[in-house]
Amino acid sequence: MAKDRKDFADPSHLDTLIGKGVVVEGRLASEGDVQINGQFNGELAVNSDLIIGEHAKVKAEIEANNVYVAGEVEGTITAKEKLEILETGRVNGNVTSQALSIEPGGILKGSSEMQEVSEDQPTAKPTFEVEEEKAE
Amino acid sequence: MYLLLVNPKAGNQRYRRIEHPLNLMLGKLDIKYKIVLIEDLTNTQDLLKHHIQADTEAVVAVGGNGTVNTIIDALADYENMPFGIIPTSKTNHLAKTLGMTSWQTGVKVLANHEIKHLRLGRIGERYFAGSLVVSPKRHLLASIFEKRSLLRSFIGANLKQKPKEEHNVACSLNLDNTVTVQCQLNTMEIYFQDGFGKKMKIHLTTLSDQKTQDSIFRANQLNISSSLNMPVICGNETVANTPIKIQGVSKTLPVLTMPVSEKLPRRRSI
Repeated sequence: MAKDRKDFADPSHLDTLIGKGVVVEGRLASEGDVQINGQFNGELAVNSDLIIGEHAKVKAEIEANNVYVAGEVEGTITAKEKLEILETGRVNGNVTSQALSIEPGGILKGSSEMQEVSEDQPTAKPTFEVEEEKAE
Repeated sequence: MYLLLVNPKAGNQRYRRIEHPLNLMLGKLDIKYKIVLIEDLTNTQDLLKHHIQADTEAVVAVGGNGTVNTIIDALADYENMPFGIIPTSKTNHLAKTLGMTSWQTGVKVLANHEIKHLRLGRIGERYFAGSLVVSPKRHLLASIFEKRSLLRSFIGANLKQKPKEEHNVACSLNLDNTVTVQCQLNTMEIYFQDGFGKKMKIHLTTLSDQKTQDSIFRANQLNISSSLNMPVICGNETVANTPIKIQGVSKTLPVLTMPVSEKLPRRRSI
């Protein structure tokens, strides 16, 4: 499920949280949500969502469901669904995702590859339904 | 029959003072029991071998944190032998978390209980249940003077508590031999969470720019090393010191706990 900014400050849903000032190295694999506010070097394999906080510095190969970047990332990002670079976010590397959004101020230095959305999961309502609602 | 292993020294020799009412209450609730006094906690394993029989329903620790930790360690090698606690010290941590706040509630639980399976971990060569805390030792006087008090408010000396550098120790953790974590550690709490198998939840409170920060990790195995030796505390008892290896194991300990229906607050009758 897509996350809102207020979710970033709520650690209750998190599987792993790396606090500011904490330095982590290695391969981190997680089934649940991960939030990084400190430093991470290595490889991240997250089966859920990854949030990279404003003060975070990440040098890693990243794979996750949804990725939200508000800090600095150096390395490739593969998001199965959405990659969102927020206004303070900086990504230096190639990214692959189904959907990409970059807020004003956010920086992406690298190539972006868009994956095709599977037809089984439509992301938007058909237009005629909207028109019908308007008519009512 | 319940096997009551009593540590007469626990809780400032509290057993001496409660021995008579304890026996009365056990009799009143029609609980069959056998009392064995532990003279030396290091002999607990031998006591269990000698006294556990086919009709033993559960082994009950009558004492404080040290007694509970020692009996849990000794019981881990027995398959499915239930464990109960009658707390005789005021700081019996595991008993409190299981809903037994006094020796009376401990006795009531023997008469009417539910079984909860507590996951076990290994710290060095011994087993533990519940939670562990790793934290640098603090000077006792410093702790007292940091506390806010009415008197200190009156003389205007209540200061805002700030984390101090000396209460934080450079610490390195190795999780499952795949991840290393470096931090300025203030406190580390390690416990098991339902639904995560034998993975331990590791909650760190660290210091960064004079502010405390939280971190959460999960691991089956944890190696802790630090610039200063820190105590590893289970209940209120120091069970080891860093550097240390802590592991989640696939064993559980059946523990007698208060039935859920009794934990619920009573509803007001209208």
